[in-house]
Amino acid sequence: MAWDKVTGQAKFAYDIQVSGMLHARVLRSPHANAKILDIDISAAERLPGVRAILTYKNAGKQRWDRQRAVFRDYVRLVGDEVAAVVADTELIAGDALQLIKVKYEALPHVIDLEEALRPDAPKVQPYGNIWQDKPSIYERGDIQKGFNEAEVVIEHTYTTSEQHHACLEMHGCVANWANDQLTVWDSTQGVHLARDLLALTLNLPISKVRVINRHTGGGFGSKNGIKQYHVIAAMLSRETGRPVRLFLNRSEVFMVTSHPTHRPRTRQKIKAGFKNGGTLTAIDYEEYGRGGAWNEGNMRWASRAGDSIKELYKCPNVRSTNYAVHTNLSSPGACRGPGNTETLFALEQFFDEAAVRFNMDPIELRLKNFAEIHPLTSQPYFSNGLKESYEKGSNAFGWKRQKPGSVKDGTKRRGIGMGTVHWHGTSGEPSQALVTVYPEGTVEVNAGIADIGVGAPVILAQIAAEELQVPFDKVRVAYGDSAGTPYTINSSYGSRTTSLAGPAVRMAAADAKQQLIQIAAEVLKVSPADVRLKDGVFITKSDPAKQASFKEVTGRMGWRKRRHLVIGKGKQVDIFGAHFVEVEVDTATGSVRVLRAVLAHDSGRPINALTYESQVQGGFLMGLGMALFEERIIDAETGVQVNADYHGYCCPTALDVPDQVTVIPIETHDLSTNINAKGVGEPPTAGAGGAIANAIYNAIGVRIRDYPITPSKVLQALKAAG
Amino acid sequence: MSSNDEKEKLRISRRAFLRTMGIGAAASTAVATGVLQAPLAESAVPPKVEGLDYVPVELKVNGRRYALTIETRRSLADVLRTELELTGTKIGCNQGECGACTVIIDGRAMYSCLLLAVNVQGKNIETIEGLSRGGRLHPLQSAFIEKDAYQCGWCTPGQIMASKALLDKNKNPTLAEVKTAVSGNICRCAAYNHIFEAVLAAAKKL
Ligand code: FES
Ligand code: FES
Repeated sequence: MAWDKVTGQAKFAYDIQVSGMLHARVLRSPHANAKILDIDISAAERLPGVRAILTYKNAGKQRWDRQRAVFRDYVRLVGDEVAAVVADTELIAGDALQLIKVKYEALPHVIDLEEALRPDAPKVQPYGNIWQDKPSIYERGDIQKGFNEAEVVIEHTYTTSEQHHACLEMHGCVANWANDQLTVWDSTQGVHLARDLLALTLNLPISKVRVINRHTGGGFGSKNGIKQYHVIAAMLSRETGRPVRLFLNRSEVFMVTSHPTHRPRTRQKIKAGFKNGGTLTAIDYEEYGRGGAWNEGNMRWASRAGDSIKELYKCPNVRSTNYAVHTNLSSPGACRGPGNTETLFALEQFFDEAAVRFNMDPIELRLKNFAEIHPLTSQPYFSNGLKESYEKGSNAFGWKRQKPGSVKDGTKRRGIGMGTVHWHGTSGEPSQALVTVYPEGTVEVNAGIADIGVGAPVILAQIAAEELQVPFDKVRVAYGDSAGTPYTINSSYGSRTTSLAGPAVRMAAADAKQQLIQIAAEVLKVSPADVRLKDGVFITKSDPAKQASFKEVTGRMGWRKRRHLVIGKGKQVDIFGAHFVEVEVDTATGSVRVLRAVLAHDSGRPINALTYESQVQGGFLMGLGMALFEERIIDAETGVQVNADYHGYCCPTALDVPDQVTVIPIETHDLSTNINAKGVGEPPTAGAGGAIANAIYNAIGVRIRDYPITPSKVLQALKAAG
Repeated sequence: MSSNDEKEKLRISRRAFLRTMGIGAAASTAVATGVLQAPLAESAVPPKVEGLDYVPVELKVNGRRYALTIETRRSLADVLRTELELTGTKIGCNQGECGACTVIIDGRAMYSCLLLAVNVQGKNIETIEGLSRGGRLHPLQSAFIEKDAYQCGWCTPGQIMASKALLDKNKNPTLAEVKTAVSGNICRCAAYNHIFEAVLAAAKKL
């Protein structure tokens, strides 16, 4: 795997060229809300090289979901699909788009979150602009009683921005619908989920759909399941009888990603009651998240924030009220650490503000409200390394805060800050894996996972190698093809690839090991109960001198393949950590640099120390980007994203990386799985923003509650503070 | 001018601005062609598309010569990937922003998506595929593996080519020089720390 990636031989879906392949492009709406009065494709159809064009007039009734067909005579957001062209080359398909004439009647639209909440705002859905016409509410204890008991009440409002996944490999697929069988090479986070949803949407038996993907050039939540472009590519392939390649371009990726696309913009109000010593008595939390135009399941991502409010700290009286708000935009989707990231950006700044109010060290305030048992289930944690994360992280960092604004050098100010990391991993779904041991002593793991960059194939190989006690390089992992692998995981989301697939691989390997022990017992002429595998050698317990090597035993298998289907189960695990950062703020320009970071993460056992460190560093930098510069900027007048490219939408580059990033694994023993790993893909992103914002406060003595904390906001805040 | 008038003026100029960007703006009734591209004049006959002339070109890639006939409008990245099937050169934006398409041309790291293939004839073009031969890796490639200097791997060929252009000239770069050399290569997985370590480690072995 590694070899492929450094030699350029790694084939991603974007690289796939199938013989006879045609190329498709999509014509998209320039309007945020409009009726299509007419479409004229006659000129485009005459362009040499054009093979087919689909619009609402000729595309039939193929549905996208229960609500809408794929092509319709109306659009609800800038970027909605209007027509699709398939041609001999991508350039010709692009030429043809320009020859399609569409007559629109523009209708009123609303883009801004606050405007959408006004009573006179255009209604995006018949029932209004609050999704399903009601908030989702969580309550425990008695919120009023909690505030009555409080001696100090603190309230602040925070806003977070629309972060985009911005994965480097653009979204798209190659679809080949031939002989009744649909094969799709897809840039996806999970071949099995993509296959199941394609079958459902196209009304095909699952056995007739195959999704293949060896490597994925980044996903971060944006490549789970299927999008409209999958269905359009399949429709065009059926129409032409040829394989069809349909990839979005960079601005389409930013603007629509067809369609759930980004982390939602949120406004979050936290009101909390405390005793004088800092003990929480009540939290009242209210969140508004900007959603999209369609009444669809993805709207839930706009009201997902709040889990950390309910679960991170001990508090008997909690209320969380979440509103997903319709606007004429694409829906938000899951973006690395969805919900918790938005919440922690607010909550961890809030706790810092409360610590200032109580004149307490922020870690002390957090420890004061530490939850000994799980606040939701009132059960003990399977494992909880939060206290250790605070302790080891702060020691490694040298945690000692100066008075805000006191560390100066010319126009530069320095400050430090910390924030808690909180996430939950594995959902308890069944996972399957196969392990085959070959006579030559090599091992093959078969797992239905995707390689999205977390190093999962390597990790699974390590787990099998560990269980079977063979060298790592004797293990091969087959993955990335729904036709050749069992249902290990439907898609890689929720930081659960390792914690879900790992246990299944371990159980399959253990099963294989048992069978090898049977054979070893035959070789050694003892009973199987008397044999154990140690350091790659089968040893007789009663007479340790009686041994058989791994190869000796596997050699006995002849060509009898031994395959094992094993089902392993995972459980929800709670993942914690603490981030410590130092920043430098230039008060002349308002720019912020993160100088160093210590990232302590309780993720159970890091199975591969190197990829573990990569995940934590990468996740933190994505959070750093969201804290300081990432934001989709939408023009409220037109609904157009004005920074739908990498120049306008700034992802962290090599020059934004802190000089020192130290990762400290906190190894808790988690009882919920047989591999003791909890997952680490998402939590580091969630923990970045609060720590950085708190460090900025410590540097300049002014709070900025509106992410991203851009230079202009820093300058404005400094000016307002005098 | 009242402040309302002024607001209206701003509003109009912003619409005009968006329109010149090729993105249709909302008006009460409008006839518009596709988003993300400038509308063309209406015409029953397909207009002549710029760049549709086919020309013979000869490219020198990784020391080998290739003779092709291609449309003049095609980028080097596109021709490398689809004509020569050298898909190690990646495309992350196709508009000169991300660095995934970085190749070395006459010793300089360049974005191949911004170059027309017809314009780089006679130049020495190096791609990621030229770095290893017969299973022997370039020290940069082994260092990237050793330091886990990638996650998804999409930016990796570009990072390696940008680093190679640096090391070809400067055998002993500082951390700051490494950072600058790859600063035009976005890694969304943010494997940066490990990339820096890999380049510095490779420099020692050269
Ligand atoms: S693909 Fe060339 S710079 Fe992004
Ligand atoms: S490794 Fe994924 S973009 Fe760099």
